[in-house]
Amino acid sequence: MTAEIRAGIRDSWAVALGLIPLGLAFGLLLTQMGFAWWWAPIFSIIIYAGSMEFLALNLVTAGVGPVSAAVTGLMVNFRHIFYGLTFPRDLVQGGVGRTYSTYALTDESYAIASARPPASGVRVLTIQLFCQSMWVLPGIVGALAGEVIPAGIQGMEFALVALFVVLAWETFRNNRDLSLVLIAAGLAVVAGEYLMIALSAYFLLLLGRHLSPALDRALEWRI
Amino acid sequence: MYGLPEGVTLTQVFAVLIPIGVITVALRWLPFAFVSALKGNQFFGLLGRMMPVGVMVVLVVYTLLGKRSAPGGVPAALIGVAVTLGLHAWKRDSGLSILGGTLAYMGLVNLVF
Repeated sequence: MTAEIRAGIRDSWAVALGLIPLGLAFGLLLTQMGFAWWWAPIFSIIIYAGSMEFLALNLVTAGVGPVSAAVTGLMVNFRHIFYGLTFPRDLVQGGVGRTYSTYALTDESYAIASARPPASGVRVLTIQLFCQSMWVLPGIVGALAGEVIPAGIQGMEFALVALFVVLAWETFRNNRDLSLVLIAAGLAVVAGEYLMIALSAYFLLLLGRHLSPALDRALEWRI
Repeated sequence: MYGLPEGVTLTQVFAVLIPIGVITVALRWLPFAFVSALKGNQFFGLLGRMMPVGVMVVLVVYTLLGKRSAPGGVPAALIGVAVTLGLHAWKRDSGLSILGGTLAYMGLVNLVF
């Protein structure tokens, strides 16, 4: 068992290191926006999905309602629906462990389990618990640091824009169809502050492309 | 009293956190319950290929437009985006790109504009 825990941590180490700076940035941003530090773990436990937590800070201060929040969460985190198809949750014994494993099925734990298929349930859970610790603890540290740093420094929240730029780049590499980028950008400019409208319109467009292969072919622009 | 920013109520916070939390867990749970319905479904395949990049681009534009009223406005934010993209094209290290882009933007809004 100890050997499996150690192996799980070894498998997760590289990815977990990448979570630390983002966790710190999230905590820092949260307190700079005026939240008390202990809101950082509350955000990270109720919504355990990094980029969505950053976005949730914006949605809260913008005062959006529960329906808008739900639609945004659905679109932004939709990719998670594919992870369970191959994630080795079956290795985990017992209801509590399986429930946690489902709850904590993030981009990172999915990536680790895909790159190095775990041999046991203990290792699956170790990977997931380790990833969550490496996200929540730096969040708390960043939040405490943010309470000491004077609030006069502006622009730290740009980390969110930069994060989405990087994610857009990485997702584009998986599907180099420029029409998706241009259409999404156009819809977002038109929708302005109404994020939910841009996301819903984009979804409808994809439905159109699915229903009409001719439309799909006409729009596709691979580079 | 609840450690919230001025003008933000407790209801407002949970009206965002709880729906998103529930939806996220539901998305992670669905494939375990409906493997056969989802596996091989063409529409889901298309969504898997086309949704992530579009959603991220929408979020870039949405957060960028949020900088309209900040010092330097959208131009400063566009410079920050250009620095982020440049760093990412060069090293492809997410942490470095985010840090570099953010520092560039912070330099602009605090020192230039």
